Amino acid sequence: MNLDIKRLIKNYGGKWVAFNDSSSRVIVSGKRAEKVFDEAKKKGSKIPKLYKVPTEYLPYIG
Amino acid sequence: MKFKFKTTNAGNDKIPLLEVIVTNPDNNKKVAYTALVDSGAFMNVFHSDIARVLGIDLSKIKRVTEFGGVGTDSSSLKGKPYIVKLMVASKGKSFSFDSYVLFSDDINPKGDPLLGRQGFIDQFAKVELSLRNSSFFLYI
Repeated sequence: MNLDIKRLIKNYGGKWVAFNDSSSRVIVSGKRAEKVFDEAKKKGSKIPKLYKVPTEYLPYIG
Repeated sequence: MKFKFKTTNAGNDKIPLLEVIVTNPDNNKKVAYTALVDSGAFMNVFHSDIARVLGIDLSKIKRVTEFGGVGTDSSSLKGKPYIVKLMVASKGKSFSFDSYVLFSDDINPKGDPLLGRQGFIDQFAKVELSLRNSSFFLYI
């Protein structure tokens, strides 16, 4: 995606988001993935692009 | 063939997050889903919500697979396996394959779903990460 994760977390932490075609902008957000998927379809996404935004940024070790 | 992707910025960190098209082969329903390419993960682990989006009824799957992370919590995490089709695409090129995925409610809310060794990395001849160039590459 073409967005900084920390900015996404600040605005959408813990939510599902759907991106525009270039993955540079959030077009729908919400708590339920199915609803975000349906809303993105209504906004014209052929294949909605979903991402579950982490609640906070922690350096990942795994 | 080589696919090139940009890493995602997280402050000073650069993360190999990848958008894959996930298809339910039973109804052909598709979603583009972003997950972390992680050679440390044994296999793919996706949110159960994505199964629901794809019309996969996890309640009908009796098999439960346990998995663990690097944390100190001794309780194992659980997921239900399902075979989906995954597709990676970049600049007009694409590559699809059947893949075994664990759908789980136990993904850490501070973390990302994972594209791991079995079912993702093993489908490619080479997976390469170049942090200096803010890029990662998948070779088939």
